[in-house]
Amino acid sequence: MNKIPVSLNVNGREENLEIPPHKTLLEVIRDDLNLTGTKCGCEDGTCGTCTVLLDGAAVRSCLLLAAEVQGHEIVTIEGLADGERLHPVQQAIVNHGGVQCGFCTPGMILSAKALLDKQPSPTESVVRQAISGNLCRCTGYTKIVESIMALSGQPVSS
Amino acid sequence: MSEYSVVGKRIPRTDSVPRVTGEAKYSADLSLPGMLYAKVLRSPYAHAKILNIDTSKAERLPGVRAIITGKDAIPYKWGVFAYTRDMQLLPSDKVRYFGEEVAAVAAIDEDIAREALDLIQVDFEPLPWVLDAEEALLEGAPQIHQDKPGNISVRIFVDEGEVDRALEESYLVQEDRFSSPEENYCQLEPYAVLANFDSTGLDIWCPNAGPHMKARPLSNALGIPTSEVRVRKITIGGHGGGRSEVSPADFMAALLSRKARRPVKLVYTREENFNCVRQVHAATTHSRVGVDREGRITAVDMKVIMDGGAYASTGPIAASVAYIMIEEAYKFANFRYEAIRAYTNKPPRGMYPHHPRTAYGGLELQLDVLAEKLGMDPLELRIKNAVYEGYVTPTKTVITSCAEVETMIKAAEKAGWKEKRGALPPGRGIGMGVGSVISGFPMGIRGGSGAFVRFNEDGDATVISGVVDNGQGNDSMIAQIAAEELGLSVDKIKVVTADTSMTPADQGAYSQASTVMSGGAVKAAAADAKNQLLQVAAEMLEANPKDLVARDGRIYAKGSPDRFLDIAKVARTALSRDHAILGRGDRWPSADAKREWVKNPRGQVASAFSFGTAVAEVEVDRETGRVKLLNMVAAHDCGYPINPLAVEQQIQRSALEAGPEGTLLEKHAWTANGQNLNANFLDYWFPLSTDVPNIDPIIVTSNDPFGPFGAKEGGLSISVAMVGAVANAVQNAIGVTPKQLPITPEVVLRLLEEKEKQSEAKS
Amino acid sequence: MQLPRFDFLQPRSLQEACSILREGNGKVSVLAGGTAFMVALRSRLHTPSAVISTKALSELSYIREASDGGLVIGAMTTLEALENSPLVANGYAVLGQAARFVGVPPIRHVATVGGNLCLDTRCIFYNQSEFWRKARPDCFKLGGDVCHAIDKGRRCLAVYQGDLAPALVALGARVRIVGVSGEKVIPLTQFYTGNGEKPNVLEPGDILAEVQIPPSSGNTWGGYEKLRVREGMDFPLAGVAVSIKTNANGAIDQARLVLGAVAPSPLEVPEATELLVGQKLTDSLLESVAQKAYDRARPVANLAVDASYRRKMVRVLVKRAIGRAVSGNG
Repeated sequence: MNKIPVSLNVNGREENLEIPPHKTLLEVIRDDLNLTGTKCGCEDGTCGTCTVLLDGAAVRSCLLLAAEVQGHEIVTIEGLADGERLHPVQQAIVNHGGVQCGFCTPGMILSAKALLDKQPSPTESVVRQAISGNLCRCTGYTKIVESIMALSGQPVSS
Repeated sequence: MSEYSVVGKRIPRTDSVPRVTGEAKYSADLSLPGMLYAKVLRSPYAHAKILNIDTSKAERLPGVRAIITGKDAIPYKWGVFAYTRDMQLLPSDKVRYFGEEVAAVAAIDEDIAREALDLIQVDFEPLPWVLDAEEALLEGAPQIHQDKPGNISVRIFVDEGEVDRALEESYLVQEDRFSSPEENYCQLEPYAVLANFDSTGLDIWCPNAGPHMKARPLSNALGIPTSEVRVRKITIGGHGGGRSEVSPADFMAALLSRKARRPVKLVYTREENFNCVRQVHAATTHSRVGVDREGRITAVDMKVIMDGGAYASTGPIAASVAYIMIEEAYKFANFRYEAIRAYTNKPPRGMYPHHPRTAYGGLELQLDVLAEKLGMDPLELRIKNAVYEGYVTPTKTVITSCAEVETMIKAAEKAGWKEKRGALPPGRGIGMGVGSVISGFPMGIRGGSGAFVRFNEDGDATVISGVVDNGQGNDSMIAQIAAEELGLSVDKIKVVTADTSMTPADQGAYSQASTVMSGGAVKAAAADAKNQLLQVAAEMLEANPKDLVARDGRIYAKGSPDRFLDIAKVARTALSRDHAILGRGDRWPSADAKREWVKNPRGQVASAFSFGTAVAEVEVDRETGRVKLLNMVAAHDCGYPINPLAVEQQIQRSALEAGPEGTLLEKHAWTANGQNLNANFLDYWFPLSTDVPNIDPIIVTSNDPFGPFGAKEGGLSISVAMVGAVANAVQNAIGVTPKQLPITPEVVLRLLEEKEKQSEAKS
Repeated sequence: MQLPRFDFLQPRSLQEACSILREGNGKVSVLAGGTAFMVALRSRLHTPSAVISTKALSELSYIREASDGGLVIGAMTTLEALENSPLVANGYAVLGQAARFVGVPPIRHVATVGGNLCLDTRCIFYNQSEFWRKARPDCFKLGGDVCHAIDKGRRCLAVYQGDLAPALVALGARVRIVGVSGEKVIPLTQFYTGNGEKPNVLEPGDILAEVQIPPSSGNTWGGYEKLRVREGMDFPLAGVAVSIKTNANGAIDQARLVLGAVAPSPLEVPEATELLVGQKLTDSLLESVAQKAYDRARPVANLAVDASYRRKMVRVLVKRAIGRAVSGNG
């Protein structure tokens, strides 16, 4: 099969790969780089479990060709913690019970991080907008929102 | 709560960290050396005979390593019960729904497996099909299973008291027909299996709710001993009832691996997860409810028709839960309930907390109508009809611990019921719903759980249990229970769960059984281990073991906490004396063994009962029909919260499932030839974070005599109660009874238009 | 499900991209943001032999004031850039509103203006997996001769479900199309064919490069309203864009009302302009305008909600969009 050289910057590492051109960023992250924390839940851009950061913004990795994101900085869920120390968003999700089955969690955390990096004190409605592309079946979204609001310092509606 | 040092504490679940770092492995994340990739060929017909399958071309495709069809399987029909064995895990004679499995390929990569599917030639003989349950029950309808005349999958019939007379003598009788199409579980993790069949047998990883319940059918279908089927521990991305049973995917991956002698991974697409795992029943409910002048329910007469799809699945239970939950939520003596679960040429339907939503939701809507006719507050009517400890239901189940009324009062208080009901501005509405669920009931095969607890050299302990964690936090729950019983902190508990080669049998994480059964077994095993340890400690302290307690990592005599031994030291001492401490325990439901879903629906049904009340507030856009949820409050009697954080999670999950999902948004639609029109998240309206308000959970306790530390289950009553709450809130807002669920904007608009026409006709 | 195999081409200029597209004669595709096209690829609605990298088009990412005082927007501008642009907010609010209604934030971060305008038409019998589609005869849009949505339907009425186009038509926008043999500028209304099978006029070798919006005066107001079931994610089930210019007396000087997602192309309602111009807004006038829009909208049963419901909602959305515009929220 026809393969092309692609170099990707993932979690701060330069990865030089030979991949077929029809491979998505999601497939490369999971299959070639073995970073399976990025999930595959629908493959049509609707569920948000494949969310990664592209130059700091939350995007769907299932809707991007790997070959198209050369030269950009990609961060996956594995790139967040500092050794054994969790990233503040990860810690907040743990402390406030914003994780249950965990399948939406990596994407949810990355969407929250992208928001908080840009806007450290968002209101609840801004938070709900920012994670509206991340489906969750377990939490009713409540504890996820509470986790993020704990970092934003803004009040939560009841 | 202070009598305990570990349970009752609000702590982050012990399984949380690997799930936030991406470290947790789900089935699709696994790979083994030499692993092949599988794809499934599926039926393009709703109903057809399989005349011939020619795989020769596909077999010649380079990279293809194995192809299986129904002919590769031994003739074996699987069923949850002996009398529901109707499903070949890979059919050989005919297909019964669009998308059913026909053949499967394992190849060295996914592209090749997919290409091979196109090369398989199948000769089908299309048969007449039927897609509607009521039509399927008519004479002359296409027969889906030869040995099931009339397409009746299951019939449940209960007739207690004198229903007709009671209704005749009632002050008011409300009669309605409610209907709803299918829902979907939408587990966020698409189904995935990794199977490795070698000379020692089968190793298999897959999302599931009952590993021990899977091993048996897999061994039967493969013709090998159960001990050679090892269903393995894996992180699971949701269950919701739809992963209770063995899946054709498990069987196909196993069979392909057996044939190829290589590990095989099969990952479903989202479309396959919508159609080929399990769906939630569509149903109609015809309901008559009578009340006396004081608002006491006199009788309920309910007929339910459920669309079961192509196979029986857990049909006898699915068709029964509505009546069991209704008679346990409200007290009334006269009860007739008939449920017919029909076969249709649609995907098979499994277990779901609030199915059929037309039964619970319908009854709750009717109660509000009756309350209004009586001039009563719906809250007052519900309190008047609530059950209590010691109450005996029409089918002879004794209710044990019960704080139903307290859930009603607390939910109403928190939601501002008294201030708001009747006082909201036009377009707004507030509604209430009540639910009861049973915890720990024998499914018909196996109902109990066993556990081992072992002390290790460092003084920590390992809990070995067959319970599985689908995401609800069972691993964390048993760790907390064991820690409390052993006198250790939670971080000193290691958990080994859900591996059928080493863990004791378990009923599975459904039927709200995990805490009462699996948790109960762990508590018993821990108590056994602790008693053995106390024996050793007693010798060391020269004390009577009966006087000793284990708490906070120490053992000491009651009243003298200063003279203590570290548990770690006692454990090491025991090991050095060749006394390996291994506790064992088990739990079996205290239900009437003679009770049976179809043949004998009488007697004690389960060990514990939980109760919940939900209140929802909505705003209806009268021009578009859109319903906006403004507030959701849910109070749940969980018995005792092992971890309040986890109980709140379950309450909130249930509220989402029953409210926005089950009552407002979610449904499937079909083409005339049986194709699912919306097997994707664009057209199947899974609620977003912007569609729901924060869900306010209230924990109510009742200290159950059967459950560990008085616990029952986490929050499932709300996944029944919130249907009524949201439906009644809409009814309150628009002044019309919605008889079709979900109450989508189109439905609301139609109701408003009809109401306008009626009022025009009157004036 | 992996994507179908294709080659990946990286032209160095827009012109080279056009040449490749021309030579490909329909078998080479441009991804743009890819949020819709990747899904179409995965379900094998398209199986191009090659896909062009958007790097060559990156020069087309801009929003700037034109020499005539209007606005020009490069086709590769993201919807996120559009919704956050002060230039758009100031005088072209209807466009910003429409952009905010698209999908969810991560989609808007990569989805482009050009991609949204070039969205293929959609139909619940067409936007399905390959397995699903193969179980029935090919419809018109797939090259066959039946319609699954309308019994005995004789042509394809798949729906154009873009949010931006109605807003841009209301603003009188034109588009610049670059081709192998030069470029042309046409009104956006002429960009759409009204044919569900082939919704726009682009031919192999053409690239939609830029949107040009005429200048807006200080008293121009706009409003966009969208029918959807959820607060996000959904394509419009119906959309209404309106742009209104008033004079010093408060009477309407100019008005354009455009419907989206009820036909294979955005649908202008010229009767609305006739009714509105020279008038001051009253409830009864609003009612008449809404009625004209309702008369014009003829959605068919090819989306996830009932066609008659969508049609009724046009009436509601028109009133709300105009209300939003004149209240100054627009």
